[in-house]
Amino acid sequence: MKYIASIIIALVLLASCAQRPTNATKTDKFPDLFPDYVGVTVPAGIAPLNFAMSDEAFECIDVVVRGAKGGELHENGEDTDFDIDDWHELLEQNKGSQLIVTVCAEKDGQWTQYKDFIIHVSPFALDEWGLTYRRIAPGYEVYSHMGIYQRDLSTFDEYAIIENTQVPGMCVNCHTSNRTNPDRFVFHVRGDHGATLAQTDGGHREWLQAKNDLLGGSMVYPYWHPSGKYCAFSTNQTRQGFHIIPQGGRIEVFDLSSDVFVYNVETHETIRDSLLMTKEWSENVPTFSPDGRTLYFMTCLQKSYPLEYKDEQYNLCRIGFNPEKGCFEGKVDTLFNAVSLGKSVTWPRPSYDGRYILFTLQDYGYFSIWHEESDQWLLDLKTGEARPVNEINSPRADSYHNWSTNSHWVVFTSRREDGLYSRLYLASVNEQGRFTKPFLLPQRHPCQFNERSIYSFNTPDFTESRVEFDARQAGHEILSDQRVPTK
Amino acid sequence: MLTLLLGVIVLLFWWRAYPFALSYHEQFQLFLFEDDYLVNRIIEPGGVARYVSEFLVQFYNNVLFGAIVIALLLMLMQRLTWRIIVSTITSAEVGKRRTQIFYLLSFMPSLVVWYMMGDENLLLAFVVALIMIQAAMLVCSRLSFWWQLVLLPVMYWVAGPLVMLLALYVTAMALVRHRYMLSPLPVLLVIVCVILSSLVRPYPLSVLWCGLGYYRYVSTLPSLKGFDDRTYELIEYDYLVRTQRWDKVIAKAETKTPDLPMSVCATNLALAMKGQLLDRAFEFYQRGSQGLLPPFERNYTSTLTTGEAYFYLGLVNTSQRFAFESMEAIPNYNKSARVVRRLAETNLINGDYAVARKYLKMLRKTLFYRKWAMRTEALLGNESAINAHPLYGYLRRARIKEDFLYSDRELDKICGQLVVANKENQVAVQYLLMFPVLDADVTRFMNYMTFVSQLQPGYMPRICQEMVTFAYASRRQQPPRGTVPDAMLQQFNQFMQSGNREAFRHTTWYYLSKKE
Repeated sequence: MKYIASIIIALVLLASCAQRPTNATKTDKFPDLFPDYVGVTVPAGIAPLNFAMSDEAFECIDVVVRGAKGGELHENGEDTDFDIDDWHELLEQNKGSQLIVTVCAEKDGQWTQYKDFIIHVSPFALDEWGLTYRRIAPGYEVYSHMGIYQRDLSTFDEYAIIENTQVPGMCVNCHTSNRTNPDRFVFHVRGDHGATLAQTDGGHREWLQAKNDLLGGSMVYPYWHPSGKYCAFSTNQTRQGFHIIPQGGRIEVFDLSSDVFVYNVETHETIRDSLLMTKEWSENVPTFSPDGRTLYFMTCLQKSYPLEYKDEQYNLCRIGFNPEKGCFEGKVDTLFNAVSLGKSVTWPRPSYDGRYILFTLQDYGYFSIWHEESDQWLLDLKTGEARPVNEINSPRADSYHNWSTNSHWVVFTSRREDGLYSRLYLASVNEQGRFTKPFLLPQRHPCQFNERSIYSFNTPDFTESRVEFDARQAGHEILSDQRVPTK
Repeated sequence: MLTLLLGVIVLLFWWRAYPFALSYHEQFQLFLFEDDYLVNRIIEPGGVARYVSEFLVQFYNNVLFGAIVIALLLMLMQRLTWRIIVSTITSAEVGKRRTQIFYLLSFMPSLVVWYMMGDENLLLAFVVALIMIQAAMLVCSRLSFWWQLVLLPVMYWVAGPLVMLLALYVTAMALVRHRYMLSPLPVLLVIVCVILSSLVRPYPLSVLWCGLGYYRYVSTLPSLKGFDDRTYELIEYDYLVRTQRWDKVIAKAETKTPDLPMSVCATNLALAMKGQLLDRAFEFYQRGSQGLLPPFERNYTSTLTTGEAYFYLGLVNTSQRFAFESMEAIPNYNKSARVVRRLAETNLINGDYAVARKYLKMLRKTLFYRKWAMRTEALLGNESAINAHPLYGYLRRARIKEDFLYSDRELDKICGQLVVANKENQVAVQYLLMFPVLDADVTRFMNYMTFVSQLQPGYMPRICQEMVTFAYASRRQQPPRGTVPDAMLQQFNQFMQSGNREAFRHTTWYYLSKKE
């Protein structure tokens, strides 16, 4: 309905420049575009990479996109608005090759032709249908309209999975699917009707008790076991602090305590181990290896918070997991000692081919979106070497990443545009673990979208196909307060 | 003529008696002249009424315009009521005398709605929707029954669940025309419309039945709550703080002493802004140090006022947090022009220009904040211009130098840090000294007083004199000569010997004795 209304209004308001470049002055500079798509690598099925000149003073832009293997598109207007089908056809034709983009822009009646730039069309497919993410204003403790959404990567269509208008006062977070499978996922509901939803195959939904006395808190950061039989969680006593001056940032998040456990979806039992529920250490953000036999997590020596919040530094660790017996095995190993570097690890995410772990490194703490210095690092599990992924990092907070199932694409959030509003970026990874320049998730009118959006995008993940979820029925179930106890 | 009289009275009422009520409504929305805003409204049932009302409410920014808007709407409502009566009952049927009675009765809906508008959470969309429904009733009277049925879903989407009134009207018309079998259809049709809308929009039925735009709390039905003096007292305090009318805040407090955290906070802020906090604080009711900076609450009203206090204290980050939180707490998910403006300012002061630009661009799409936004946009990135700005430059200079985490249990120490950062920050100096006074902590006060005396020798407002007198007296000593006037010492002796301490109720000593 929103789209129909938008189209009608767009048609009514449609007013674009229709001039063609004449007497253009040539320059050897690349155009300054928003989004910066110069030299990016995209998958063949991606939505059109529309853009405009960053400088609003430009009145018109004329763009020709030529495929190295053939095909051409021409756009002229305030920004580009490529036809979706034509764009897909061009990209398919040039898969594994490149597009050459010629941009002419008009300012004060004078046209300038910029140096041509390349958009690489990756040989690696992005097989997933789209992305899921949470959209919420980057606030402190109170939240207004928010929800979990999904976005078709080949078009600009976004669909709500569930919004908090369905149950006023509700907050939803941490939508996590099992290896991008849209049928099997968890997310949390916070507020008066708190719960953790575990949806399993066939759309079977269970609303789990938000808190469990055995755990001493709520289920928080989830990650599915590849078998779908288990889901690892952390349970956290989280607090927030607020910086008094801007140089310190805005928000500090720290945990008075946290532990890690595994939840058996079939028996509703929690698998707890003293090695992962220590008093002196805070274990957090668990993830399973793709073979399901290792549980990665991060751990930090507990300090006195908020006084020593800058000493909250996490290492990346692992412990064996026996899925047949449903128990942990062996001892805890430190996989990446960030503390020795004076840093802190967060959000470890193994690639599905088992080769890498992509994690975020920051000065301290684990809530990376509020740490401007947070950067993505790649740990090669084969060599044990870790390196900052400078190809995708920015001076602002880069965080919340996830892999595509073929392990050739990552999605992550970055505040590189303005330092506050997180946006979604995608980048490809080759066999050598080298990343390409990331590109901002395409929008039909990116400048307009960027200007108008008052939300941050967080915890993105790929989804194999569209998530089918009856939000209305879920709303009834949330309000019913009927919960499955965990043991 | 009577309609005009109604309009004039309504206008004068809102313009002169309740201008702050208009400002209150205006600050909890951000009407943008952009297609997205329109689309986001009209995709909801009742969205057209909401869009029109929010368009009108932006004029509340100027209270005279706002009062004119309400007057015109209530006049229109009366005229439409009269037209409906005329179209339903002809004068020939009822006679001239009864016609006059009916004419007077036509004022009833306007008067009732006027009273309902006293509820600060009733939104103008309710009034606009009602007028739309009345207009639809007039149209209906010329339509066949089946066309009337067609009109119902359309009007549901335009005006929201108040369309039930139209359905009842159509039902009544059907009954008058002896179509008994068909008469339940209009009501059933509206019920079906509401249920169907819950399938396509992300709201539970309870919310849809209450109307998405009628009331600030989305799942609440408008009621006949009317004007609550206590509520409007707070709203007026906030309005005066927002418009920086410090003298008026103090004058209002002098008329009726404030006794709620929000009003006490506003009064103390106004006193501090006028440099009178440490002279006159006890002329007004004090609630302890929480009356200086009330603790954070997850609401959208008191948080705004407290945020103003933090802003003028020089705690820009904290002020930004309170502003952001108050906007997020608006129950109908609206944004706030007042808050977005404040966020643009705080980000500008903090040097977060990209974020400030984003907010300013939003404000450029408004009617009443556009000029300010364009003026302020010129400051972005211009360090020297910002530093030279009388407010923004000052707030930069007032900033604490070293970062730490905010703690509402150590607000006095934070004020101390502000004073260390900029000893000319008189608001912080007053708050610093007032915290231990209101906490009745004499030792802490004396420590802070010593600190302030080093920075500002000779600074000794009345409350400080009283505290120093009390501190020495409690040690059975006299203050050093020249610290406190002799008259003050005599007054203290009188207080100690007096059987009627009420005569001293504006003194610190009285407050301390009550605290004990």
